[in-house]
Amino acid sequence: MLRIDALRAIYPALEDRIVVTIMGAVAAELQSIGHRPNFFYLQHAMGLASSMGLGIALAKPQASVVVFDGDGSVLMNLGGLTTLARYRPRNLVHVVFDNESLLSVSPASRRRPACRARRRSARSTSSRARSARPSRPAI
Amino acid sequence: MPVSSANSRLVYDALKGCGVRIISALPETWLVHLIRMADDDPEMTLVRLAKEEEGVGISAGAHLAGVKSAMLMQNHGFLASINGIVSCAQLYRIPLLMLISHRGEFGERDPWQTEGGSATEPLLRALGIAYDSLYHPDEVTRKITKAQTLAYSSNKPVALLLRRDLMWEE
Repeated sequence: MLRIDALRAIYPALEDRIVVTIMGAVAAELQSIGHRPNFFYLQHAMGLASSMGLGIALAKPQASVVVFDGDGSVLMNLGGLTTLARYRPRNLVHVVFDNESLLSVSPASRRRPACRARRRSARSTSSRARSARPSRPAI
Repeated sequence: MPVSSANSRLVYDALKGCGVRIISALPETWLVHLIRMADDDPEMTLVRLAKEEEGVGISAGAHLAGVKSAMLMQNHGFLASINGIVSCAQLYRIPLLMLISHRGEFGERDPWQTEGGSATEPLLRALGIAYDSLYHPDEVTRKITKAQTLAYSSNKPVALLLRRDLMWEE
């Protein structure tokens, strides 16, 4: 499944929720579906989307908070997962789009050939071609 | 361990007095009483971190949610937070209040702390972060209040260095 299709599928459920996204394609795709004032796009500070979500969730226990994160960002704040686990606020959902690459950022990456379906269908991926450059795109 | 409990109480009460309700922290010797006070206070949410940089995100989220917060960290923790401070707090104009215990300054006996002492102020200046130092109990309440005032009027990070004279009883 493509990440943008996953976002479209859950978009109606985001109407009354506070949403924090990490940078790059996640932010652009959510915004392209339809920006809402309760969406916040963290366009830098890789890793901190989950921490921001935790701060919001702890500050507003009555609100429902969703974080859309990427696997690269999670890797940059892996210790933050232990903090999330320690406090595990009931009003926080942390969604990690795992495309097993650091290729989300540049607009050029979204013009690559269509994704190939992964055998491990449990994972929501928009897998990039293996031949893609492994280097981290400029931010 | 001669960390000043009385001066820690002044710092804690000043933070609470200016409306801080979320404190993120990573343990270090000089902060032991402050962290315990936050932990014991049912009106304060203490967030124990794995790495100090997370606290930048937590304070940013708290600010967007309308809650005042502060970071308690050692100066080496400040070093560990730099990218978060620049690309989250400065970029999004977050009034980030940082209380930084200043290890490695005059009087420091632990050799491993000494590099941090000479790096802290130059880095704060390099990032354009307004900062002041707390040396004496008489200036604690006033300076913490004024630090938060500036953070909110400028929507920028502000730092207070907790100095050895304040935190360490010798």
